[in-house]
Amino acid sequence: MDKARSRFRTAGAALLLALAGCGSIPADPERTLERVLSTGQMRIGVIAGEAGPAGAARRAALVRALAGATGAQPLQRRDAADALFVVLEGGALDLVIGPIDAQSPWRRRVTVLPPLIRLRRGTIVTDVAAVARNGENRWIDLVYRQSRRVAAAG
Amino acid sequence: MSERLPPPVRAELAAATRLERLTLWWMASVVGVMAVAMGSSQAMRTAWIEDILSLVPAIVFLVARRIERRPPTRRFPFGFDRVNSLAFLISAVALAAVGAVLALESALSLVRAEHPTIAPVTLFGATFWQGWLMIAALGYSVVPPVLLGRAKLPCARRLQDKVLHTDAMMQRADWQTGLAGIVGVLGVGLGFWWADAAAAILISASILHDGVRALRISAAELIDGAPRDLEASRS
Repeated sequence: MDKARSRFRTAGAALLLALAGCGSIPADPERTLERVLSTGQMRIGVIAGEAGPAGAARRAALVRALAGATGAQPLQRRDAADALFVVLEGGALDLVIGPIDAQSPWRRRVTVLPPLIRLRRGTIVTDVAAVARNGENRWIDLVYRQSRRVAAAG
Repeated sequence: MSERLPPPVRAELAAATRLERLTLWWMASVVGVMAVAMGSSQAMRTAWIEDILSLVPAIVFLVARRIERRPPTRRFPFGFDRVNSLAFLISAVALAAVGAVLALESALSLVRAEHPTIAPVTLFGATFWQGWLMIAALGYSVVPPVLLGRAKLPCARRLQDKVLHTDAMMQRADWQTGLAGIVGVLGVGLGFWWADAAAAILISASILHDGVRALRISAAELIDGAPRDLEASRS
């Protein structure tokens, strides 16, 4: 029982220690948001594809909202989705925005945020959404909130 | 069998049965809450699976109690008293197998350096980090095993019942798992991507350890080895 009590105390101490750092939770393991704020630059990949005028307008609105929230200048590059996701995974892009298929195998390897707009062409449904690198939870938190705001504003 | 047992033992068995029924209801609520709050955390998923597995000994105990009461038949002339041993082996195999699979899965996550995403969630108009919801669910998952495990252990010792004892041990592992899960989620929150997989490895190692220990005791009993002490570290 003493052993169990000692484990309970250790876990409690770890918990208190972690809670002491609550202000910085969640944090980015690869410091994406910190880097965006310190360099004043956001590296954004734009998926070349069928986003349509409505999708393009929402994408531009999200970029403006993120620039407003961070004070960073967006540096945009346009390419195919696969190429951009590879660069995003490697950490050379902070965000990718564009149409992403519901069945895309990339959905397991990157984090797809709430859709800015849902496009329907016949029975095919495609979300135009922001996509972030997995695990960058503070940056994801910011993009999530801005994406919802843009989607709600219409 | 219980009709042939002395009244104090029968009373103890009845108490154990009540505890196991309570375990099923309470732990089912934990499994439900965890399923709702679960994100992509490996530690939380492992803790959730352990919570589901913690239902196995309780179910096995109740099923065995029901079967062992049956009178001998022509095909089973010695009755069903040893169904408890079979039940114990089944729960031990389940524990060990799941522990091994989870340990392997968690180790692979760590080797692949998978960075778990714990995204925000919007509930009732409020947006917050899902990790807080997961921590609350894991916190709740700690309460029933602490109370139930404490109640079962003395009962199992008095009855010398292996399944009940395994269950009590598993409940102890359960609340430790809950705390490890909380530390894992908080670790991810603080930016330590490996904390989640590391916590999951610890949890699965605990499941595997329980399973192997139970498996050794049950195997020894099935081949008619000398009776083992419930608390024995060697089997």
